[in-house]
Amino acid sequence: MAVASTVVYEYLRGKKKFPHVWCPGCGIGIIMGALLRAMADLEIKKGDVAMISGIGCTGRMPVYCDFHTLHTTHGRAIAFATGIKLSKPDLKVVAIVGDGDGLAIGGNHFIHAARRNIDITTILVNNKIYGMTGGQYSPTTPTGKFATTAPYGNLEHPFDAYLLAKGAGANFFARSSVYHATQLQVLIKKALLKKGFSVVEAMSNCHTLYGRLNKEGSAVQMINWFKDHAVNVNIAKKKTPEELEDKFITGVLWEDNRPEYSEQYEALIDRLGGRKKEEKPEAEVVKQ
Amino acid sequence: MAEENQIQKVEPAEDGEEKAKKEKPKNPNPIVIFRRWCKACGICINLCPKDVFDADEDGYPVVARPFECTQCSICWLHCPDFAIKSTEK
Ligand SMILES: Cc1ncc(C[n+]2csc(CCOP(=O)(O)OP(=O)(O)O)c2C)c(N)n1
Ligand code: SF4
Ligand code: SF4
Ligand code: SF4
Repeated sequence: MAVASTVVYEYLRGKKKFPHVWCPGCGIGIIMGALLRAMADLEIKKGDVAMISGIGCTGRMPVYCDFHTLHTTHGRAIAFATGIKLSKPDLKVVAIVGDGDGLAIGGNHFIHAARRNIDITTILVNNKIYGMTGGQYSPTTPTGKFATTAPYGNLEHPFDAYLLAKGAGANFFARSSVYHATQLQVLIKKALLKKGFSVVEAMSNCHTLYGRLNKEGSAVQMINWFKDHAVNVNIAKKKTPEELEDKFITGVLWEDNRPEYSEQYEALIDRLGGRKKEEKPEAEVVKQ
Repeated sequence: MAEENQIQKVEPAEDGEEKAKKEKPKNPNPIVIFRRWCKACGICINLCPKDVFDADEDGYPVVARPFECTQCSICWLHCPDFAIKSTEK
């Protein structure tokens, strides 16, 4: 945890891109900071990371990070990440998804990556709404909360990303929030080290839309809400469901050690003798 | 990154001088704000446990009480715009 305030600058791309596009006080920047500090803490080199996102405010993150990056179509970050992991298994593959991006249009990819247990670290930025497109409700908008497409309150029930990831077969799930920036950094570090599909859900503030529509106040007020409503997983075990009603549980919620997909895939190639002949030089492949 | 990680040494103190020795020399410039990247969101001003910042008339943070700063890191860990640098960490 001893990283300096300046290490993030080593991972930022093109100083001309700053100040970034996010609203003043948007939590996505805090999450990006925690991720970059986790990388620095583990001394991961920029060239060893592939960061992939879809579309959304959250999806802008790779624009600012100096890794191998891919800013793909809405919902498809994990699909692209799967391809990259299988073709370049030595890369640290990080998928950045919003709650709409990762659990609505991209929900299918999310559960199947978990089922395959492929070694992708997924950072799920959960601001409980579609930020970029103007505040439509998302699969994590709580019942009764307001969105531009739920002017009378949301009728639907939200997903719990933890149950989804666990049920589908992921090896790791942790949750934290933008208030808990240090914990978030520690959890992301654990996720980066964990083999298999690992998810860190970072609860974030979209005060511009979710906060305004639900009268939850400014960025500062929403960040303080996270402070007051977080319950650590060890403490939560001793609480009743009523006591936990409007709370969210933080920490490592799930850990498993199922075999990882890309390793099995590599082993299969070896078993079938797929690597015996000399691999074609890359330049030749490009020409065809 | 080694030089940023230096820990201030606390030497064993002589009798009677303990308090004086333990007190670190105060840094008059512990925190730097890059105003060009700052969006005046107010997070640092509100989360600082030592009330180091004041807001100027446009809402931008100003390091008003530098000697109160304990280098707790809360402000720069929570700045969404990477606009805060600690001069000690
Ligand atoms: C195929 C397709 N459908 C819809 C859209 C419109 N769209 C862009 S971003 C977005 C939702 C973003 O919400 P979320 O993933 O929660 O990210 P946030 O902006 O809140 O960070 C939608 C529906 C699109 N770009 N592409
Ligand atoms: S609209 Fe919401 S999620 Fe998007 S940048 Fe603004 S505060 Fe952040
Ligand atoms: S937290 Fe960062 S962006 Fe917000 S007011 Fe402070 S320095 Fe500016
Ligand atoms: S390091 Fe801590 S005490 Fe110093 S200005 Fe930042 S928040 Fe305040």
